[in-house]
Amino acid sequence: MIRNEKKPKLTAVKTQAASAQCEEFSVLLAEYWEGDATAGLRSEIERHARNCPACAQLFESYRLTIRACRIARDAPAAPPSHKQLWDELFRQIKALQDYLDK
Amino acid sequence: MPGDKRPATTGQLDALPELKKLPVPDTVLVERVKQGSSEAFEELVRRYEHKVYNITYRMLGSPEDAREAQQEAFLRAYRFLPKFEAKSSFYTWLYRIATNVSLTKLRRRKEPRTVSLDEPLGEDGSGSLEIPDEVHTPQTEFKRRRLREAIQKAVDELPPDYRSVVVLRDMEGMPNEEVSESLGISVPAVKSRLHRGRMMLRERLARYMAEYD
Repeated sequence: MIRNEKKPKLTAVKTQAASAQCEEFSVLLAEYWEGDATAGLRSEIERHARNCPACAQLFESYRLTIRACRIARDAPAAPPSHKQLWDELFRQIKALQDYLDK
Repeated sequence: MPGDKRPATTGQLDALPELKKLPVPDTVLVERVKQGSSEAFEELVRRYEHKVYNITYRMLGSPEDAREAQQEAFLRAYRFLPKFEAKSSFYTWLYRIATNVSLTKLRRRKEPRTVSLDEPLGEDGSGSLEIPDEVHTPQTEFKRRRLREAIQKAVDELPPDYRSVVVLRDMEGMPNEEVSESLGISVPAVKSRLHRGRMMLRERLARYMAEYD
């Protein structure tokens, strides 16, 4: 995995072909992280990231963004108490029923 | 409101008391609500109030708006439950309502906090996205809290359609298929919006983290 590499080897200058690959790399990141990429494609993505510093950075920050969202998930927002919510809902449901019964 | 029309328990169930402890499936509760049971609806509220609040809070970024949206989502669910045909699970249907209520509120805001989709993403790549370690120390907890604040700020800036996908998939951990059902869009559309949403979030998150440094 790219993230285990201490320092990816840098390619000196991006060629036109490398740029096209980089464009594709960005699109394929989603497939990689959603588990849709085949083993072959995964290796190809990892190989490209090892050889392209810009894509390695994109790969890492994309991974960290997903992880950051998971950290947020671990701390759910504090909802109102059940009693508070249900009392209000019950009042409004009753009002709706009374209106419909008329 | 009519009383609960719970079916009487059979002798078989009485012989197996542990079966009575199993949670009543949503489908059964939904049928009871359709027959007029407010107790069954309260049980559905109890089951999903936290998740619904999380969705509305992540979507709206304000506790007050989130509470209003949570309440409205449950009221709509109650009102439209007679039309619910169980083609999807109750909870994905409910999450869809919660997301739609939040989206409507977002669109009604006078000064939208979202940025244009055409805005170029990231200028110089400045800002570092530092994720605290797994260990729980006062320092890592502090960093986590700041990170959560940064995430919420960054999510608040996402255009609504991308925000809903990122919230349901990455922040609430729903599988793509459920996100697709909840939002009424195809799975490929979910994946495409998710990718664009993550790319935008990544840029904004790095910016906010840089502000904290």
